[in-house]
Amino acid sequence: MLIKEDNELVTNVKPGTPMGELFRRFWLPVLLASELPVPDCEPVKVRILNEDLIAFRGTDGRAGLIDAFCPHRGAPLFFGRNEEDGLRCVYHGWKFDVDGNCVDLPSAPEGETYKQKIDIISYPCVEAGDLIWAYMGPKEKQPPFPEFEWLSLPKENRYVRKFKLECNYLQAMEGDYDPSHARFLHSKLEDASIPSPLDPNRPVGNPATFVPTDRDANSDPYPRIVGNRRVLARPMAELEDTDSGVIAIGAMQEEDGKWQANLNVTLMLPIFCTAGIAGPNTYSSNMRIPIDNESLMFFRLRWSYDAIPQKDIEEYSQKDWYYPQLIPGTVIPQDNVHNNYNVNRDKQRNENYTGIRTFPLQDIAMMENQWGPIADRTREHLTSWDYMIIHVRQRLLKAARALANGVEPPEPWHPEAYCYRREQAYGATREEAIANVKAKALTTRLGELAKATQAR
Amino acid sequence: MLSKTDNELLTRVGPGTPMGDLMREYWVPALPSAEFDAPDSPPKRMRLLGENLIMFRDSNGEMGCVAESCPHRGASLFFGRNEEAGLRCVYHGWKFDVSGACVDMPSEPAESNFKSKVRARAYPCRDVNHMVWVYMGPREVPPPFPAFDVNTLPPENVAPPAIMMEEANWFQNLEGDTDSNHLDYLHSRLDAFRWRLFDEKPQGGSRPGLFFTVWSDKMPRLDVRTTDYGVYYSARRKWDDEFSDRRPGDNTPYEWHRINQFIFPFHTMITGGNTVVLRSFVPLDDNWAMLITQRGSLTERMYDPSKAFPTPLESEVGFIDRTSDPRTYFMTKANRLNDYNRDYEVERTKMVSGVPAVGNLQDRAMTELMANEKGERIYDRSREHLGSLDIMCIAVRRQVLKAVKAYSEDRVLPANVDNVSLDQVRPATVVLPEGADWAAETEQFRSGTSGAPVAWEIKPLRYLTQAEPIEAVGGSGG
Repeated sequence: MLIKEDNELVTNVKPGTPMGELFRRFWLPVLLASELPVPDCEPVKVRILNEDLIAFRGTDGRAGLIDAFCPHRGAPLFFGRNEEDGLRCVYHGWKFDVDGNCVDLPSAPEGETYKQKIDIISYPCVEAGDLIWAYMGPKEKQPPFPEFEWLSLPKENRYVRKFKLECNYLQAMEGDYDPSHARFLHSKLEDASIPSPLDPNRPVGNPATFVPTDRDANSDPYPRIVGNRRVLARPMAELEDTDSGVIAIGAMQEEDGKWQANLNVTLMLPIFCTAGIAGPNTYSSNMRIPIDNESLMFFRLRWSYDAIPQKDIEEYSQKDWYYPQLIPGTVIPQDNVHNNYNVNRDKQRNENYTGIRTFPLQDIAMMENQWGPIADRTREHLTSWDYMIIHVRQRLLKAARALANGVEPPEPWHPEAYCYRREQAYGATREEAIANVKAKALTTRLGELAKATQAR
Repeated sequence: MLSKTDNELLTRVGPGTPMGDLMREYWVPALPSAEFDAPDSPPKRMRLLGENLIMFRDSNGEMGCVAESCPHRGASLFFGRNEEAGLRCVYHGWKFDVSGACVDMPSEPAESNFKSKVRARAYPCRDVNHMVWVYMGPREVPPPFPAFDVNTLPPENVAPPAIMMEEANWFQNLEGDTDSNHLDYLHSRLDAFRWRLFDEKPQGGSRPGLFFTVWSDKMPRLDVRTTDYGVYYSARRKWDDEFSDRRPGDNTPYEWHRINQFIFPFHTMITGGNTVVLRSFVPLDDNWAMLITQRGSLTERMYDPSKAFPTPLESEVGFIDRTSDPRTYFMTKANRLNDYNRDYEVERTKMVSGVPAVGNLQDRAMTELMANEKGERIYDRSREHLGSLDIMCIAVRRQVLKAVKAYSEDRVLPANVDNVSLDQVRPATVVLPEGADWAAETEQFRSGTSGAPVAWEIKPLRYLTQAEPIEAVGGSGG
């Protein structure tokens, strides 16, 4: 639960607000690189953090992100001509380059000198990992680029798509570090007898993830999840603040006396989460960038140290088990809030818990309406299993309040801490296992990978 | 005309508004029982008095009505699993029974007693005579259940409710029911209208039923009586010899009285036909309301379970395909967006209005286009011009405003919240000699407890209550 003021603080990302300014201290994904396919391609409308912008690619191939409206008299630059290293407003011919300079002002005799005084909002862009990233904060505060390991991998090691959700970014994110919902929301009825991985009486083994079993993707689009629908234990994983965000580490003793530690990345500020079912060698990154306070663009990435197999690519792009199918030509899921996600009550009665087809849609059905598109956290009743949610909120609130008081956030200045990934390690003692897993989770494997590639 | 302040007071019904608070002291009819046709049938969205609700019938057949958002982290209980005597949120499995008690919280360790501290906001329901009513007020023990005829008759004597969704503030819809004079125009047959306005005598005969009745008197005289439960009034018009069966030798000048009721907080009873009736203008919020019409017969069976659903109006006007949004429930295919299927040929040859004369459709064509300056479908009564035939409207507004203020300022409720015997009233149609004391003459017919039949026939009351002379029977039998 939050008091009203804190809930408004943490959910409002408009320019000039504490949270809005905090977001504007980070590099953020704004577009798929494929949306700007070639130099001088069509400009694209983008709305990010309540700002209307236009993205385009110059003749030299660099991406630019500028105000959607011409500073002359506010005409929409979306209709601009993208040619010869700049976007030219078609109203009176004013032209802007990707860095936001007014490079031509042909509509008046004083244009040659006047153009130097024209400012248009423009944000620096970087193209990395099949995405266009932008920094929307003050120029003098621009941080180094975060060192996500997946940015340096070959293109075939990644798969990314985007879709739009109609709710505030925070409640959408909170589903990612809500460990108790999966065995309810995502469960299948027949599996209720299988012991939960969080049941203290479960057989000893790896408790890390819920694993889909026996799925025949062709005949059965309803996912199943292992676990009974009862939580008997207190949360096991402990949270730890890092230079970039929050990690969760759980440790347990194996039958042979060795300790096993598992590390999961809860959040890297401000929006980088890692939940999602992925194979043993596959990792996920969920990036939910606010469009405004009541909607967001979800960039969902799968990455691996190996090339992603063709069958997985087909699964991601053509089936809807990992990614919702979209209305063709849009970024809106076919099953959405307007059709109640096509909930099937008969399936709910007989087959799965929700009657909603796939994992992502089940989550979306919850998050898009938690007392509306902006959850009213004054009315909540949180439990011991909501500890991650509480922790992250406090971390975000603290950073936003500090920035409002003039204290810059340290996270953007620790690009190396964005290399965290999910890991597992062993040790003779609990402490040793935990130390090992922390070190391992931060160690880049790119060198290893290069060696392996050479050896091949 | 009302001040802007009074208009706001009258029309706004959300949580915490004075009118909303007053309505919450009453049982509110919500949805037909047939919407929840079996135990554990799918939960449905509902919206009442500005609150988003989920209604469901549990395994025991009990009706439940809870706030849509789960108290844990606000997920929508619409997607909940309705099973084993409760509605279970699919997000983390919290389960609530119809009383709002959290009966299972499987996401918390067994030793936790957190579930005893959490409640869903739940409203008591009553499922009576094919209609589910909800009590959304503050009392621990709800007030007694309203004793309207349609609630106290045996279920088989009450028809399933006929409901129309109306895209306008509840009160402007209701005001049509307090306005007798619009019958002379909006709902009138064209020939009767021309008779009144241009003295052209109609050729065709009259037949029973309001929309088809023919009369010449264009100016009803209104007589209004305020009561503890609301207002009732008579609108009297000349009884026309031309279209009536006057007994030979009877030269008395007669008047036709239509006697209708307004009952706190949003009910009316409008005379017409040999049935008892309750019309309830139930707000979904400030901009949307239902008109729920329930009819019962004192003598005849009116309920046929094989026709219980859809509601009776559906076969007459057709409803749009619904979604889970309650504003799409009972929304007629003829509506504001297609000008209510206005038929110009009908308008030229048969009726004053070419909007089909079904349910309240013609009324909606009038009231759904009334809006305030913000574009909300809330009529701005600070700009109107009332005439002498609007005295019933004025009386009802005064009574309602008085009741709202008495409650918000002094916490005094209208008498019929707790004394539900006041609900045992009826409307009446009677034909009385000119100058008769209509209130005294109809006292037994306006009472639901006198044992009197429904007064509904447009012929002199004395013809109905006095034995018919033998020769006259022979005469009228021809």
